[in-house]
Amino acid sequence: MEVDKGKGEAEETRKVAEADRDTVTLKSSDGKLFEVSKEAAARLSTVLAGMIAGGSIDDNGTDLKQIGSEALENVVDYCNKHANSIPSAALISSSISFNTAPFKEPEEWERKFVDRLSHDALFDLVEAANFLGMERLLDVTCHKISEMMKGKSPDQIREVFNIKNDYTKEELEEIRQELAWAFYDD
Amino acid sequence: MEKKRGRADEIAEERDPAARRDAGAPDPKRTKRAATIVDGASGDICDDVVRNIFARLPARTAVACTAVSTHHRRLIRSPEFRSLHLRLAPPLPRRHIAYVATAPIPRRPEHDPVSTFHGFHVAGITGNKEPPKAPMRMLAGGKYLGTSYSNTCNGIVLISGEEFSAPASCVLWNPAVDDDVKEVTVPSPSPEKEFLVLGLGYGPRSNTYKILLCRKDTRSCHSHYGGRCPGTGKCGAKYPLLIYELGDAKYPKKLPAVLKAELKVKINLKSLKTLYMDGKIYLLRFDKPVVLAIDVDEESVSTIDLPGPPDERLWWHERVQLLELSGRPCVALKDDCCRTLWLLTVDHQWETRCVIAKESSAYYCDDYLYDCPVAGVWDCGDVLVLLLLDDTLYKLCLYHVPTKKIFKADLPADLTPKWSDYKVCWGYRPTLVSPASIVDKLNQQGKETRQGHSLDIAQLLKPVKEQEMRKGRKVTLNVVCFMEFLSYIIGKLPDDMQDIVETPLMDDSEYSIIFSEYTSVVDDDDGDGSSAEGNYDDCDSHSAESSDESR
Repeated sequence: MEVDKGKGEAEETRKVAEADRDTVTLKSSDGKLFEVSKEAAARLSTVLAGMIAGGSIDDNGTDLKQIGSEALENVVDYCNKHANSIPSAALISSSISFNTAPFKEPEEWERKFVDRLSHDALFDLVEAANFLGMERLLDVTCHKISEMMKGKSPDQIREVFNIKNDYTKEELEEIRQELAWAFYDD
Repeated sequence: MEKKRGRADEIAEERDPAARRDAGAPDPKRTKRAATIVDGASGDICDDVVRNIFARLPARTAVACTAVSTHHRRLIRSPEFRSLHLRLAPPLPRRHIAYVATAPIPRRPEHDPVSTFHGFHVAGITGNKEPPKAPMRMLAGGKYLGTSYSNTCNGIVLISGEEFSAPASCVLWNPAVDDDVKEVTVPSPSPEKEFLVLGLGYGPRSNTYKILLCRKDTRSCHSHYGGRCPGTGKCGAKYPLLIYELGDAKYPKKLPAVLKAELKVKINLKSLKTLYMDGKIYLLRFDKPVVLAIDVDEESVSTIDLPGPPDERLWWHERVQLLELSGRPCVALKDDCCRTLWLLTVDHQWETRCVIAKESSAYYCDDYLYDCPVAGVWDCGDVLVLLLLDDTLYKLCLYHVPTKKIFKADLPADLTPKWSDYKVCWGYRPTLVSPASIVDKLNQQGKETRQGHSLDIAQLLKPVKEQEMRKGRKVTLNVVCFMEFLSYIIGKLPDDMQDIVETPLMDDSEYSIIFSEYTSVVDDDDGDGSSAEGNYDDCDSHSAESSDESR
């Protein structure tokens, strides 16, 4: 089984690993293995934190059947970047108060991180973040997608999400009249 | 990186299509994703994520998204989504004007009004696109007679009566959603204890909405029997402030709680306006030069002294009001030497933002600017836009922060609406919070059925209501045009400052709006907005400091 490390971060990951000699191996749905620092995983993902605490981590690769290799690579990549760029404990406290704290704008590196992703990769990543309980990554990816939707008409949004319109013409017209202010510029 | 991606691609190609979909790996056929979304929660993108994405949209886009599909409409109208949106949604762009245009509607011209029209608008959110023709939402009807805008909190607009009454009622209205307005009646312990509704606030920690009231005890006011008169004068009635919690299911008849503050009735209580901001209701007292900050969660009152020498005579007759600037309460006060715009910081300190000196021109007396109460202020980066209104004088000022120069233009009376025709909703932020859910926390699902019941009556009254709406829109058209004009200027700043100042905005036979520099001609070269007299220097250097800090 090959151990696959994210890109140029391989070295950094190793450094982190050496520092606390503690990494977690994750296995994507298609059997690829990724290594990530246990500390970062536990800090950023509530699900992984639970698995680490509960001892359900498999040394040969913890199965994450719901996540494909590209999405998992991005997750690991994000964890590594996060571990390198933000040393503070402030994030731990912010994830605790997540339910009341207002949204914090993405940092420059987080913005770059999601900007380089393709449409599909972004949508896969958002699902992976949701599955793993990674609040901050979910925040950043959802923020990016919402930015893509801003100012778009319902037709355009249907296109972005590929949603089928199940309204009748009359129903749509009624909604448009009811909520005229929201539609005035299309 | 390259190596890794290469490998991932190879593997992706080896996989069969079914496995690929399970994996959620990049799917070249987008239709597949679409199919799973339409199916609802079982799909690739679960509702949790969709909710999380939609909750970050501006209220207008989120509302428009109800037209995407019936599934999304249900999702957006759910209480969970509304509270998530309240937390995550971006604020309005700073350069907008949210306002309520109000007009009394008589059945026939020259008759007494039988109804009042309220139209809620937001000017300036469209950028360069066509301005909206229609208000976001309108209210009209006999039950709104004698009501006016009080304040706004979390996207809810509070409309309340202008007189004391027992019991007092008010209306919660979210113009961004198509919920019916919700009426609230504040129970009174006795008919003699009349209330005036002052404002609405939200306590983020307790997640409750509360109404600030002022009570008049008519017994102590009208007579001395029973020794009830506090004896502070001929009619020494006091007006204690109270707070009333909404949506308390356990005690629906709970009475308002008395706060440790009261007002004296030196002035017309009608003109009391409140401002809600970050868990606090701010109230400018007229009987003393202080601002009260009422913490909605704790129901505590802090008293903040107004800045400057407390010379009541100079300001308390005026229409001094609490405004909002850069997301903070702000007030424009006049003293002997100048009119100063003060911003209240989070730790309750006053910061100078702009100073209009008393004398400006060596050639003609132009005290008017300094004399005019400030009716509005908008932060446009390097430029503050000030609207100065008196009954007969309307001036628009541009305050250039780096140079402290003031440019002013007189506005033609035809263009400017009357003071009473509109209220700017300072601190408005659009949300999808439903008024019904605030008042009736437990019963928020039952709305649809109730609507069904009242449908018949609504149908009968529809023509009358539509006529009143039409009349109201017609009467308030001048307000709408004026606000669009203001938001046009605000939208051009600060980049097109030179253009606006140098070219007449409107210049035909009837109207002309031409800016001229307000600073004294003599002092022109030092670029310092103040004119001449030494005692202004203090104000001005102060202003320079704080505006530098704020940059």
